[in-house]
Amino acid sequence: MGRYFTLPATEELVELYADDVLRVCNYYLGKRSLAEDAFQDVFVKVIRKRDTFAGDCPPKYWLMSIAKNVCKDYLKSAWATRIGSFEQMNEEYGEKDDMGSSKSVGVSASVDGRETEDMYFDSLDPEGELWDAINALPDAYKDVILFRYYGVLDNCEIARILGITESTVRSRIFRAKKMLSRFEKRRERASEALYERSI
Amino acid sequence: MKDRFDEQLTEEFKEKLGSIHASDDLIARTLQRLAEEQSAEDESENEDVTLTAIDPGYITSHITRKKKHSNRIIMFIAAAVTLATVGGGIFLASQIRAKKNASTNCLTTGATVATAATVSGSSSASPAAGSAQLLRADPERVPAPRKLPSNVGYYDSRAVYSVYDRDLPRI
Repeated sequence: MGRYFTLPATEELVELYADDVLRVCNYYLGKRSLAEDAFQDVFVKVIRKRDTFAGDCPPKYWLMSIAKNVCKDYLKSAWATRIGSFEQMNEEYGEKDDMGSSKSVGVSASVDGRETEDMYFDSLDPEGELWDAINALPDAYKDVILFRYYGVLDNCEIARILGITESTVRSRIFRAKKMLSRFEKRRERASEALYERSI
Repeated sequence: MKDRFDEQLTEEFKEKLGSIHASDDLIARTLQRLAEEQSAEDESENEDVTLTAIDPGYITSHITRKKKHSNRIIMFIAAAVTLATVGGGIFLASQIRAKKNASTNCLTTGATVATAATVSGSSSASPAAGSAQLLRADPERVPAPRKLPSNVGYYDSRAVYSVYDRDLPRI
């Protein structure tokens, strides 16, 4: 029998978990202004969906899950798609967003398959940062990675929050880490080559 | 190696996301928007309530009006039933009285006819036969003059009454 959690008043939720929600919004949207808009929408959604809180996980993770869904809705909306294309146009002129990353939207292809991995590596700058590689991960991998390394949750808890099986969580974490470690190795090789060239 | 990479990822998250904080202004704006949303929801709920909350005075007057109306209907039905019962009773009584009179008259007239027949010298005449003849010639129906055997002669039922009433001597 697991512990039962209760949801505090909405004002208290805002005060307590504002940072966490804003971080999740930033993680998915990659832009501070968009994240702040989504932040407000998250709490509006919380007001409407309060009754659906089952009490089987701490409110922090429930809020993070809502924030994740709100951000994905933002990315799917036509408005966000147009803004995205405008940002890509800016990037062509060498501008960078507030997070300092060059790519904010990950590969949205299917989770499995070598093609996805190839597309992922093609979309990355070999000399880019690890954070860019994390941001460019497919959405399904981004979810589990967030809850594992930011939320510091185990597979069972992640599975319950995301509504997937524990084995799916395990395999997604494994594949995401494999892709990231491959990126890291490639980045190391690229930096070594650059160092040798400079010598 | 794996643990080191895990640590590296945790550090990356701490470094990139840990530096992000919600400003007081953002929190204040959010709380204000939440209050607006809440009041909008309350208003919509109140609108629903006003649809269902009716003035108690209106309800009372409505009930009284309906009660009066139904009482009127009940009274009307009761009066109609009483009238029908009384009318029916009177009709039945008159019918019974008429039947009674008719049968009494029939028996009496039968006896009279029989007496008349005896007087005129017919041997076969009897009160029963006389009454049977008269029943057929019911005075309430169309009284048709009938032709009796030659020894009795013509008679009319009404004439028979008159014979009984006036001409025949009482025995």
